[in-house]
Amino acid sequence: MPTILFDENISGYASLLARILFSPAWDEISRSFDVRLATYDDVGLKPGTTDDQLWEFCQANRIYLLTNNRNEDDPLSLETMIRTRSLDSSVPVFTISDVERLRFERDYAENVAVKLLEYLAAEDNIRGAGRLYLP
Amino acid sequence: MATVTRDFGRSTFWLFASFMGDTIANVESIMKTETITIVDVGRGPQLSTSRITVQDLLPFYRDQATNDEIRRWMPSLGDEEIAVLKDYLREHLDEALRLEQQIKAHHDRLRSMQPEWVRSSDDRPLEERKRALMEKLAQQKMRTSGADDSVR
Repeated sequence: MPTILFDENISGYASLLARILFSPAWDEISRSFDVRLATYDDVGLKPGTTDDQLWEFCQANRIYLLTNNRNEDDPLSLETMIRTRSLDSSVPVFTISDVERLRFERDYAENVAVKLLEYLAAEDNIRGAGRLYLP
Repeated sequence: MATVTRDFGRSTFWLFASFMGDTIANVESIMKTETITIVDVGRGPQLSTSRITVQDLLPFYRDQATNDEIRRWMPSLGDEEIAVLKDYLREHLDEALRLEQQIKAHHDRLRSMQPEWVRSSDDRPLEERKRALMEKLAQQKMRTSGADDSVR
C-alpha cells in the first residue's frame, strides 16, 4: 500500500491530485495500486518537522515524501539526507518539477499524477533512486 | 526583522484571570504567546513556526493572491504568518527573485541528470501510458495469483 505524504508547504495540492488519481480515467489503476495520499495531520507529524526527521520518518514507515523544488544547502537538508543516507533499499522522494504549473494547468497536473502512478508501478525498481521528479 | 505575536486562548483565560487578578494575567499572556519570525535553517528564509519558506509564498505574492487563495494551497498558514512572509518579501524581493532562479537552475540540472528510463514515457500520449499501466497491473495480478497457487 504506497502512501504519498505531501510536504507541509504543498498540502493543499493533495485534493487536486486526488481528484485526478480517483477520476473515472485513473480510478481503477489508482485503486489497484492502493494509492493513499496523506498530509502531516494524517500521519501525526508536527508543523516545522526538520528535513532529517522527515527523511527518517518516511524511511521508517516506507512512505513516499512528495515535495516541491526547494533550496537545500544545509547539512541536515533533504538533499543531504538523500546524498548521504540513501541506501539501495531506501524509499525515494518525489519532487514536483513546477508546482506553479500544477495550480494552473490541468494537463500538467494529469501528467504529474500519471508519472506518479508509473513510478509506483515500478516500485521495486525505484528503491534507492534518491529523488525522482514529477513529471 | 518582521515579527508578529500571536495569542492563544485569551478569552478562556480571562474567565480565570477575573478571579486571580492582573499579575497572573500578565504571566499567562507571556506564557501563551508565540512569536512568528523568519529564520534560516538551511532552506533559505522560512517561518519559525512551520516548514513554509519565503519562496513558497513568492508566486502568490507576485500574483497578489488573497490570504484565502494562499490557504487553498497552504492550509496551515494563519493570517499572521502570511503577513510576516509578505513583510519579508516586501523588504527582500530582489533577493527572493534571485534565489528563485538559483533553485530552479539547481533542480533543472538534477532533473536532467536522471537516468533515461525515468523520462522514457514522458512524451507518449496519456492513453498509451494508461494501457501500459493496465498491462503492468495485469502482470502483477498474474504473478500474485501464481504465487498464491504455488502456496496451495
